[in-house]
Amino acid sequence: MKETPLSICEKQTVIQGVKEGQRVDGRSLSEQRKTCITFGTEWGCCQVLLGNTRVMAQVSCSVQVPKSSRANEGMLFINVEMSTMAAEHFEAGRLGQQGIEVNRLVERCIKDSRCIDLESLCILVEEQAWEVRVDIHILNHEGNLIDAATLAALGALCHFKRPDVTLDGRDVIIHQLDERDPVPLTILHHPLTLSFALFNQGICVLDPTNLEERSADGKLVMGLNAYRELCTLQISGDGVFIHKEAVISCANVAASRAVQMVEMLKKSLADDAAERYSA
Amino acid sequence: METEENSIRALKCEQSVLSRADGSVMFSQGNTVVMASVYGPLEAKIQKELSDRMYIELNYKPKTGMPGVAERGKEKLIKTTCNHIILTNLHPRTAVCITVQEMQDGGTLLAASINAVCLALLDSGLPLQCLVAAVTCLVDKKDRIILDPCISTVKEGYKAMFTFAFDSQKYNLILSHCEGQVPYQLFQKAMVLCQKASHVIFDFYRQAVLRKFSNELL
Repeated sequence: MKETPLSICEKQTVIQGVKEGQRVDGRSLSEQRKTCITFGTEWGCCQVLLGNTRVMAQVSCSVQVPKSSRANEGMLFINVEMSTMAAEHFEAGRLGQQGIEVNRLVERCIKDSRCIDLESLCILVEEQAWEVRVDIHILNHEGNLIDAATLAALGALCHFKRPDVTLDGRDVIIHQLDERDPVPLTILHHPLTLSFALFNQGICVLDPTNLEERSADGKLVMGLNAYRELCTLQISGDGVFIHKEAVISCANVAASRAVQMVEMLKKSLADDAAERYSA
Repeated sequence: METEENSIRALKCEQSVLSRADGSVMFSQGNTVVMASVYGPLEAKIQKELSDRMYIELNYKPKTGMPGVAERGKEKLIKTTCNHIILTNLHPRTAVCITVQEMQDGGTLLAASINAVCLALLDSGLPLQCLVAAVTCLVDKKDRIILDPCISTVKEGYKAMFTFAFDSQKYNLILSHCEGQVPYQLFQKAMVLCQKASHVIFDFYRQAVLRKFSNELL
Protein backbone atom coordinates (compact mmCIF):
# COMPACT_ATOMS: atom_id res chain seq x y z
CA MET A 1 0.00 0.00 0.00
CA LYS A 2 1.35 3.44 -0.82
CA GLU A 3 1.93 6.09 1.81
CA THR A 4 -0.85 8.69 2.02
CA PRO A 5 0.48 11.78 0.21
CA LEU A 6 1.47 14.81 2.24
CA SER A 7 -0.92 17.67 1.60
CA ILE A 8 0.48 21.07 0.63
CA CYS A 9 -1.24 22.88 3.49
CA GLU A 10 0.23 20.47 6.06
CA LYS A 11 3.69 21.04 4.61
CA GLN A 12 3.23 24.84 4.54
CA THR A 13 2.03 24.84 8.17
CA VAL A 14 5.10 22.96 9.33
CA ILE A 15 7.52 25.16 7.35
CA GLN A 16 5.82 28.37 8.47
CA GLY A 17 5.76 27.23 12.08
CA VAL A 18 9.41 26.25 12.01
CA LYS A 19 10.35 29.67 10.56
CA GLU A 20 8.68 31.23 13.60
CA GLY A 21 10.35 28.75 15.96
CA GLN A 22 7.16 26.80 16.67
CA ARG A 23 6.51 23.10 16.18
CA VAL A 24 3.22 21.31 15.72
CA ASP A 25 3.55 19.40 19.01
CA GLY A 26 4.66 22.47 20.97
CA ARG A 27 8.33 21.55 21.43
CA SER A 28 11.18 24.00 20.90
CA LEU A 29 13.45 23.49 17.87
CA SER A 30 16.12 21.69 19.88
CA GLU A 31 13.91 19.69 22.18
CA GLN A 32 13.68 15.91 21.99
CA ARG A 33 10.54 13.92 22.64
CA LYS A 34 10.04 11.94 25.82
CA THR A 35 12.29 8.88 25.71
CA CYS A 36 11.48 5.61 27.50
CA ILE A 37 13.95 2.72 27.64
CA THR A 38 12.76 -0.66 28.96
CA PHE A 39 14.38 -4.09 29.02
CA GLY A 40 12.88 -7.56 28.71
CA THR A 41 13.45 -10.64 30.84
CA GLU A 42 15.85 -12.14 28.29
CA TRP A 43 19.36 -10.73 28.24
CA GLY A 44 19.82 -8.35 25.34
CA CYS A 45 16.19 -7.31 24.80
CA CYS A 46 15.58 -3.56 24.74
CA GLN A 47 12.52 -1.54 23.76
CA VAL A 48 12.75 2.21 23.11
CA LEU A 49 9.85 4.67 22.93
CA LEU A 50 10.85 7.98 21.37
CA GLY A 51 7.60 9.90 21.61
CA ASN A 52 5.33 7.49 19.74
CA THR A 53 8.07 5.85 17.70
CA ARG A 54 8.56 2.36 19.08
CA VAL A 55 11.56 0.14 18.31
CA MET A 56 12.65 -3.17 19.84
CA ALA A 57 16.12 -4.68 19.57
CA GLN A 58 17.23 -8.19 20.49
CA VAL A 59 20.82 -9.38 20.66
CA SER A 60 21.79 -13.03 20.19
CA CYS A 61 25.11 -14.76 19.71
CA SER A 62 26.46 -17.88 18.07
CA VAL A 63 29.88 -19.40 17.52
CA GLN A 64 31.20 -19.02 13.96
CA VAL A 65 34.47 -19.16 12.05
CA PRO A 66 36.04 -15.68 12.10
CA LYS A 67 36.73 -13.81 8.86
CA SER A 68 40.12 -14.65 7.37
CA SER A 69 41.03 -10.96 7.11
CA ARG A 70 40.34 -10.49 10.83
CA ALA A 71 41.09 -13.85 12.34
CA ASN A 72 41.44 -12.64 15.93
CA GLU A 73 38.15 -10.74 16.12
CA GLY A 74 34.53 -11.65 16.66
CA MET A 75 31.78 -10.35 14.38
CA LEU A 76 28.91 -7.93 14.85
CA PHE A 77 25.92 -8.16 12.52
CA ILE A 78 23.15 -5.57 12.57
CA ASN A 79 19.81 -6.28 10.92
CA VAL A 80 16.91 -3.84 10.77
CA GLU A 81 13.47 -5.35 10.20
CA MET A 82 10.58 -3.28 9.02
CA SER A 83 7.10 -4.64 8.56
CA THR A 84 3.60 -3.43 7.93
CA MET A 85 3.22 -3.08 11.69
CA ALA A 86 5.26 0.13 11.72
CA ALA A 87 3.48 1.83 8.83
CA GLU A 88 1.09 0.69 6.12
CA HIS A 89 3.50 1.47 3.27
CA PHE A 90 6.30 -0.73 4.62
CA GLU A 91 6.57 -4.14 3.03
CA ALA A 92 7.37 -7.13 5.19
CA GLY A 93 10.63 -8.85 4.30
CA ARG A 94 11.87 -6.17 1.95
CA LEU A 95 13.68 -3.07 3.20
CA GLY A 96 12.73 -0.05 1.14
CA GLN A 97 15.00 2.93 0.62
CA GLN A 98 14.20 4.28 4.07
CA GLY A 99 14.91 0.91 5.66
CA ILE A 100 18.28 0.64 3.98
CA GLU A 101 19.15 4.15 5.18
CA VAL A 102 18.27 3.26 8.79
CA ASN A 103 20.23 -0.01 8.56
CA ARG A 104 23.31 1.69 7.13
CA LEU A 105 23.32 4.53 9.66
CA VAL A 106 22.91 2.22 12.66
CA GLU A 107 25.75 0.08 11.27
CA ARG A 108 27.99 3.10 10.77
CA CYS A 109 27.29 4.45 14.24
CA ILE A 110 27.75 1.21 16.13
CA LYS A 111 30.06 -0.93 14.01
CA ASP A 112 32.33 1.67 12.44
CA SER A 113 32.85 3.55 15.70
CA ARG A 114 34.19 0.29 17.15
CA CYS A 115 32.31 0.73 20.41
CA ILE A 116 32.23 -3.05 21.01
CA ASP A 117 35.60 -4.68 21.67
CA LEU A 118 35.53 -7.38 18.99
CA GLU A 119 38.88 -8.89 19.98
CA SER A 120 37.38 -10.02 23.30
CA LEU A 121 34.86 -12.05 21.31
CA CYS A 122 37.52 -14.29 19.82
CA ILE A 123 37.67 -17.81 21.27
CA LEU A 124 40.31 -19.58 19.15
CA VAL A 125 42.20 -17.54 16.57
CA GLU A 126 41.22 -18.49 12.99
CA GLU A 127 38.85 -21.20 14.26
CA GLN A 128 36.11 -19.98 16.57
CA ALA A 129 34.73 -16.60 17.50
CA TRP A 130 31.44 -15.19 18.72
CA GLU A 131 29.15 -13.62 16.15
CA VAL A 132 26.90 -11.12 17.89
CA ARG A 133 23.70 -10.48 15.99
CA VAL A 134 21.44 -7.47 16.67
CA ASP A 135 17.91 -7.69 15.27
CA ILE A 136 16.16 -4.34 15.37
CA HIS A 137 12.39 -4.40 14.84
CA ILE A 138 10.61 -1.18 13.99
CA LEU A 139 7.21 -1.44 15.66
CA ASN A 140 5.70 2.02 15.13
CA HIS A 141 6.90 4.79 12.79
CA GLU A 142 6.21 8.31 14.04
CA GLY A 143 9.44 9.87 12.83
CA ASN A 144 13.13 9.65 13.64
CA LEU A 145 13.60 5.92 13.19
CA ILE A 146 17.39 6.25 13.07
CA ASP A 147 17.77 7.65 16.60
CA ALA A 148 15.31 5.18 18.09
CA ALA A 149 16.95 2.23 16.31
CA THR A 150 20.48 3.21 17.39
CA LEU A 151 19.39 3.76 20.99
CA ALA A 152 17.57 0.41 21.06
CA ALA A 153 20.57 -1.39 19.51
CA LEU A 154 22.99 0.20 21.96
CA GLY A 155 20.71 -0.51 24.92
CA ALA A 156 20.36 -4.14 23.85
CA LEU A 157 24.14 -4.52 23.42
CA CYS A 158 24.80 -3.00 26.86
CA HIS A 159 22.18 -5.30 28.40
CA PHE A 160 23.30 -8.48 26.64
CA LYS A 161 25.32 -11.24 28.30
CA ARG A 162 26.95 -14.06 26.37
CA PRO A 163 27.67 -17.59 27.68
CA ASP A 164 30.98 -18.02 29.47
CA VAL A 165 33.74 -19.94 27.68
CA THR A 166 36.75 -21.79 29.10
CA LEU A 167 39.70 -23.04 27.10
CA ASP A 168 41.23 -26.34 28.11
CA GLY A 169 44.30 -26.53 25.87
CA ARG A 170 42.66 -26.66 22.44
CA ASP A 171 39.24 -27.76 23.77
CA VAL A 172 36.59 -25.10 23.98
CA ILE A 173 33.91 -25.51 26.65
CA ILE A 174 30.87 -23.25 26.30
CA HIS A 175 29.06 -23.20 29.62
CA GLN A 176 25.27 -23.29 29.88
CA LEU A 177 23.55 -20.27 31.37
CA ASP A 178 22.65 -22.13 34.56
CA GLU A 179 26.16 -23.61 34.95
CA ARG A 180 28.08 -20.36 34.99
CA ASP A 181 26.89 -16.76 35.00
CA PRO A 182 26.89 -15.19 31.54
CA VAL A 183 29.42 -12.48 30.71
CA PRO A 184 28.54 -8.98 29.43
CA LEU A 185 30.08 -7.56 26.24
CA THR A 186 32.98 -5.12 26.51
CA ILE A 187 31.62 -1.73 25.50
CA LEU A 188 34.29 0.93 25.09
CA HIS A 189 32.04 3.95 24.58
CA HIS A 190 28.37 4.65 23.92
CA PRO A 191 27.72 6.21 20.50
CA LEU A 192 24.22 7.50 19.79
CA THR A 193 22.76 9.23 16.76
CA LEU A 194 20.87 12.49 16.86
CA SER A 195 18.90 13.53 13.79
CA PHE A 196 17.94 16.99 12.63
CA ALA A 197 15.45 17.84 9.91
CA LEU A 198 16.88 20.58 7.68
CA PHE A 199 14.75 23.31 6.22
CA ASN A 200 16.24 25.45 3.46
CA GLN A 201 15.72 28.61 5.43
CA GLY A 202 18.71 27.50 7.48
CA ILE A 203 16.70 25.96 10.29
CA CYS A 204 17.58 22.67 11.97
CA VAL A 205 14.96 20.85 14.00
CA LEU A 206 16.01 18.14 16.47
CA ASP A 207 14.13 14.82 16.65
CA PRO A 208 11.63 15.40 13.82
CA THR A 209 8.23 13.71 13.84
CA ASN A 210 7.01 11.94 10.71
CA LEU A 211 5.23 15.08 9.49
CA GLU A 212 8.33 17.24 9.98
CA GLU A 213 10.57 14.68 8.25
CA ARG A 214 8.32 14.63 5.21
CA SER A 215 8.03 18.43 5.03
CA ALA A 216 11.76 19.04 5.46
CA ASP A 217 14.24 19.50 2.65
CA GLY A 218 16.99 17.35 4.10
CA LYS A 219 18.32 15.48 7.06
CA LEU A 220 21.43 15.79 9.21
CA VAL A 221 22.42 12.78 11.30
CA MET A 222 25.20 13.01 13.87
CA GLY A 223 26.63 10.16 15.90
CA LEU A 224 28.14 11.26 19.20
CA ASN A 225 29.17 9.62 22.44
CA ALA A 226 29.23 10.76 26.05
CA TYR A 227 32.70 12.29 25.62
CA ARG A 228 31.35 14.66 22.94
CA GLU A 229 33.31 12.79 20.24
CA LEU A 230 31.79 12.75 16.76
CA CYS A 231 31.48 9.20 15.36
CA THR A 232 29.15 9.62 12.41
CA LEU A 233 28.04 12.50 10.21
CA GLN A 234 25.59 12.36 7.33
CA ILE A 235 23.77 15.09 5.45
CA SER A 236 21.18 13.95 2.93
CA GLY A 237 18.43 15.45 0.84
CA ASP A 238 18.02 16.74 -2.71
CA GLY A 239 18.83 20.37 -3.03
CA VAL A 240 19.45 21.03 0.65
CA PHE A 241 22.07 23.56 1.61
CA ILE A 242 23.36 24.27 5.08
CA HIS A 243 25.90 26.75 6.47
CA LYS A 244 28.93 25.45 8.29
CA GLU A 245 27.98 27.54 11.35
CA ALA A 246 24.64 25.72 11.43
CA VAL A 247 26.44 22.37 11.41
CA ILE A 248 28.66 23.46 14.33
CA SER A 249 25.71 24.74 16.37
CA CYS A 250 23.78 21.52 15.66
CA ALA A 251 26.82 19.56 16.81
CA ASN A 252 26.88 21.48 20.10
CA VAL A 253 23.17 20.88 20.71
CA ALA A 254 23.56 17.22 19.79
CA ALA A 255 26.64 16.73 21.98
CA SER A 256 24.94 18.00 25.15
CA ARG A 257 21.87 15.96 24.33
CA ALA A 258 24.01 12.83 23.72
CA VAL A 259 25.59 13.17 27.16
CA GLN A 260 22.10 13.30 28.73
CA MET A 261 20.87 10.29 26.71
CA VAL A 262 23.86 8.13 27.68
CA GLU A 263 23.18 9.07 31.33
CA MET A 264 19.56 8.02 30.89
CA LEU A 265 20.60 4.74 29.26
CA LYS A 266 23.04 3.93 32.07
CA LYS A 267 20.38 4.75 34.65
CA SER A 268 17.83 2.46 32.95
CA LEU A 269 20.42 -0.34 32.88
CA ALA A 270 21.16 0.17 36.58
CA ASP A 271 17.43 0.17 37.44
CA ASP A 272 16.96 -3.06 35.48
CA ALA A 273 19.92 -4.69 37.26
CA ALA A 274 18.52 -3.65 40.65
CA GLU A 275 15.11 -5.10 39.80
CA ARG A 276 16.64 -8.41 38.72
CA TYR A 277 18.70 -8.56 41.88
CA SER A 278 15.72 -8.00 44.15
CA ALA A 279 13.50 -10.51 42.26
CA MET B 1 -3.33 -42.19 33.25
CA GLU B 2 -3.44 -39.09 35.38
CA THR B 3 -4.85 -35.86 34.13
CA GLU B 4 -3.48 -32.77 35.79
CA GLU B 5 -6.02 -30.04 35.50
CA ASN B 6 -4.04 -26.88 35.56
CA SER B 7 -5.40 -23.53 34.60
CA ILE B 8 -3.97 -21.31 31.88
CA ARG B 9 -1.36 -18.76 32.91
CA ALA B 10 -2.13 -15.13 33.78
CA LEU B 11 -3.45 -13.10 30.83
CA LYS B 12 -2.65 -9.42 30.40
CA CYS B 13 -3.14 -7.05 27.52
CA GLU B 14 -2.81 -3.42 26.53
CA GLN B 15 -4.87 -2.32 23.52
CA SER B 16 -4.15 0.50 21.05
CA VAL B 17 -0.45 0.56 21.88
CA LEU B 18 0.59 1.67 18.38
CA SER B 19 -0.47 5.10 17.16
CA ARG B 20 -0.42 4.31 13.45
CA ALA B 21 -2.13 0.93 13.27
CA ASP B 22 -5.91 0.68 13.05
CA GLY B 23 -5.85 -1.92 15.80
CA SER B 24 -2.98 -3.11 17.95
CA VAL B 25 -2.39 -5.02 21.13
CA MET B 26 0.47 -6.08 23.38
CA PHE B 27 -0.68 -9.41 24.81
CA SER B 28 0.96 -11.60 27.40
CA GLN B 29 0.10 -15.12 28.51
CA GLY B 30 2.39 -15.91 31.44
CA ASN B 31 5.90 -15.21 30.16
CA THR B 32 4.94 -15.26 26.50
CA VAL B 33 4.53 -11.74 25.11
CA VAL B 34 3.26 -11.05 21.59
CA MET B 35 2.41 -7.82 19.79
CA ALA B 36 -0.19 -7.84 17.02
CA SER B 37 -1.26 -5.04 14.69
CA VAL B 38 -4.08 -4.77 12.17
CA TYR B 39 -4.33 -2.35 9.26
CA GLY B 40 -7.53 -2.53 7.27
CA PRO B 41 -9.41 -2.32 5.06
CA LEU B 42 -6.49 -1.23 2.88
CA GLU B 43 -6.00 -0.83 -0.83
CA ALA B 44 -5.06 -4.30 -2.12
CA LYS B 45 -2.32 -4.95 -4.67
CA ILE B 46 -3.85 -5.73 -8.04
CA GLN B 47 -2.41 -9.26 -8.14
CA LYS B 48 -3.80 -10.04 -4.71
CA GLU B 49 -7.18 -8.37 -5.12
CA LEU B 50 -10.24 -10.64 -4.76
CA SER B 51 -13.48 -9.58 -6.40
CA ASP B 52 -15.87 -10.86 -3.74
CA ARG B 53 -14.01 -10.61 -0.46
CA MET B 54 -11.18 -9.05 1.52
CA TYR B 55 -7.69 -10.47 1.12
CA ILE B 56 -6.01 -11.36 4.41
CA GLU B 57 -2.27 -10.81 4.55
CA LEU B 58 -0.61 -12.13 7.66
CA ASN B 59 3.03 -11.85 8.75
CA TYR B 60 4.57 -13.57 11.72
CA LYS B 61 7.91 -12.10 12.74
CA PRO B 62 10.30 -13.95 15.03
CA LYS B 63 12.45 -11.99 17.43
CA THR B 64 15.84 -13.21 16.18
CA GLY B 65 16.90 -14.37 12.75
CA MET B 66 15.08 -14.30 9.45
CA PRO B 67 11.57 -15.78 9.19
CA GLY B 68 11.81 -19.40 8.07
CA VAL B 69 9.67 -22.46 7.57
CA ALA B 70 8.36 -22.58 11.14
CA GLU B 71 7.16 -18.98 10.83
CA ARG B 72 5.43 -19.71 7.52
CA GLY B 73 3.73 -22.66 9.21
CA LYS B 74 2.43 -20.44 12.03
CA GLU B 75 1.26 -17.86 9.49
CA LYS B 76 -0.78 -20.47 7.65
CA LEU B 77 -2.44 -21.64 10.88
CA ILE B 78 -3.27 -18.14 12.13
CA LYS B 79 -4.55 -17.18 8.66
CA THR B 80 -6.94 -20.16 8.68
CA THR B 81 -8.41 -18.92 11.95
CA CYS B 82 -8.67 -15.35 10.65
CA ASN B 83 -10.44 -16.49 7.50
CA HIS B 84 -13.11 -18.00 9.69
CA ILE B 85 -13.69 -15.09 12.03
CA ILE B 86 -13.38 -12.00 9.81
CA LEU B 87 -16.44 -11.14 7.69
CA THR B 88 -14.44 -10.78 4.51
CA ASN B 89 -17.50 -10.50 2.28
CA LEU B 90 -18.24 -7.03 3.59
CA HIS B 91 -15.10 -5.48 2.08
CA PRO B 92 -14.43 -6.85 -1.41
CA ARG B 93 -11.33 -5.80 -3.38
CA THR B 94 -9.56 -4.60 -0.23
CA ALA B 95 -6.93 -6.15 1.98
CA VAL B 96 -6.30 -6.43 5.71
CA CYS B 97 -2.71 -6.56 6.89
CA ILE B 98 -2.12 -8.39 10.16
CA THR B 99 1.36 -8.54 11.67
CA VAL B 100 2.35 -10.60 14.69
CA GLN B 101 5.66 -9.80 16.38
CA GLU B 102 7.17 -12.18 18.90
CA MET B 103 8.33 -10.11 21.87
CA GLN B 104 9.20 -12.87 24.35
CA ASP B 105 9.03 -16.65 24.01
CA GLY B 106 7.70 -18.36 27.12
CA GLY B 107 6.18 -21.34 25.29
CA THR B 108 2.80 -21.59 23.42
CA LEU B 109 3.59 -18.88 20.86
CA LEU B 110 0.95 -20.11 18.41
CA ALA B 111 -1.91 -19.89 20.91
CA ALA B 112 -0.72 -16.52 22.21
CA SER B 113 -0.47 -15.20 18.63
CA ILE B 114 -4.02 -16.26 17.78
CA ASN B 115 -5.36 -14.64 20.95
CA ALA B 116 -3.39 -11.47 20.27
CA VAL B 117 -4.70 -11.29 16.69
CA CYS B 118 -8.27 -11.65 17.99
CA LEU B 119 -7.75 -8.77 20.43
CA ALA B 120 -6.12 -6.61 17.75
CA LEU B 121 -9.05 -7.26 15.40
CA LEU B 122 -11.42 -6.25 18.20
CA ASP B 123 -9.38 -3.08 18.70
CA SER B 124 -9.46 -2.23 15.00
CA GLY B 125 -13.24 -2.40 14.71
CA LEU B 126 -13.27 -4.74 11.71
CA PRO B 127 -16.54 -6.70 11.55
CA LEU B 128 -16.08 -10.18 12.99
CA GLN B 129 -18.33 -13.20 12.86
CA CYS B 130 -17.19 -14.40 16.28
CA LEU B 131 -14.16 -14.26 18.54
CA VAL B 132 -11.55 -16.97 18.83
CA ALA B 133 -9.59 -18.33 21.79
CA ALA B 134 -6.63 -20.67 21.38
CA VAL B 135 -5.30 -22.99 24.07
CA THR B 136 -2.25 -25.24 24.00
CA CYS B 137 -1.88 -28.40 26.00
CA LEU B 138 0.88 -30.93 26.27
CA VAL B 139 0.91 -34.66 26.97
CA ASP B 140 4.17 -35.37 28.75
CA LYS B 141 6.14 -38.59 28.80
CA LYS B 142 4.12 -39.84 31.80
CA ASP B 143 0.79 -39.38 29.98
CA ARG B 144 -0.20 -36.38 32.09
CA ILE B 145 -2.09 -33.59 30.33
CA ILE B 146 -0.58 -30.20 31.16
CA LEU B 147 -2.58 -27.15 30.12
CA ASP B 148 -0.78 -24.07 28.77
CA PRO B 149 2.79 -25.32 29.36
CA CYS B 150 5.63 -22.90 29.96
CA ILE B 151 8.85 -23.19 27.98
CA SER B 152 10.71 -25.22 30.62
CA THR B 153 7.98 -27.89 30.54
CA VAL B 154 8.15 -27.98 26.73
CA LYS B 155 11.95 -28.32 26.77
CA GLU B 156 11.74 -31.36 29.09
CA GLY B 157 10.20 -33.33 26.24
CA TYR B 158 6.67 -34.48 25.48
CA LYS B 159 4.69 -37.18 23.74
CA ALA B 160 2.34 -34.77 22.01
CA MET B 161 1.44 -31.09 21.94
CA PHE B 162 -1.95 -29.79 20.80
CA THR B 163 -3.16 -26.30 20.01
CA PHE B 164 -6.91 -25.87 19.70
CA ALA B 165 -8.85 -22.74 18.79
CA PHE B 166 -12.53 -22.36 19.63
CA ASP B 167 -15.16 -19.86 18.55
CA SER B 168 -17.06 -17.72 21.03
CA GLN B 169 -20.62 -18.60 20.04
CA LYS B 170 -20.94 -22.36 20.51
CA TYR B 171 -17.33 -23.13 21.55
CA ASN B 172 -16.90 -25.24 18.42
CA LEU B 173 -13.46 -26.22 17.25
CA ILE B 174 -12.04 -23.93 14.56
CA LEU B 175 -8.41 -25.01 14.50
CA SER B 176 -6.58 -28.09 15.67
CA HIS B 177 -2.81 -28.36 15.36
CA CYS B 178 -1.18 -31.52 16.71
CA GLU B 179 2.39 -32.69 17.07
CA GLY B 180 3.17 -36.19 18.23
CA GLN B 181 1.31 -39.46 18.72
CA VAL B 182 -1.30 -40.31 21.36
CA PRO B 183 -4.34 -42.62 21.61
CA TYR B 184 -7.63 -41.09 20.54
CA GLN B 185 -9.17 -41.02 24.06
CA LEU B 186 -6.31 -38.84 25.30
CA PHE B 187 -6.80 -36.49 22.36
CA GLN B 188 -10.51 -36.18 23.23
CA LYS B 189 -9.71 -35.52 26.88
CA ALA B 190 -7.20 -32.85 25.92
CA MET B 191 -9.70 -31.17 23.61
CA VAL B 192 -12.42 -31.08 26.28
CA LEU B 193 -9.95 -29.63 28.77
CA CYS B 194 -8.90 -26.91 26.33
CA GLN B 195 -12.50 -26.13 25.50
CA LYS B 196 -13.21 -25.48 29.18
CA ALA B 197 -10.13 -23.29 29.42
CA SER B 198 -11.22 -21.20 26.42
CA HIS B 199 -14.10 -19.81 28.54
CA VAL B 200 -11.49 -18.08 30.70
CA ILE B 201 -9.98 -16.45 27.64
CA PHE B 202 -13.36 -15.23 26.36
CA ASP B 203 -14.07 -13.71 29.78
CA PHE B 204 -10.72 -11.99 29.57
CA TYR B 205 -11.58 -10.47 26.18
CA ARG B 206 -14.81 -9.13 27.61
CA GLN B 207 -12.96 -7.57 30.57
CA ALA B 208 -10.34 -6.05 28.27
CA VAL B 209 -12.96 -4.37 26.07
CA LEU B 210 -14.93 -3.17 29.13
CA ARG B 211 -11.77 -1.63 30.56
CA LYS B 212 -10.86 0.00 27.27
CA PHE B 213 -14.21 1.67 26.81
CA SER B 214 -14.60 2.70 30.43
CA ASN B 215 -11.19 4.41 30.13
CA GLU B 216 -12.31 6.24 27.03
CA LEU B 217 -15.48 7.48 28.64
CA LEU B 218 -13.72 8.79 31.73
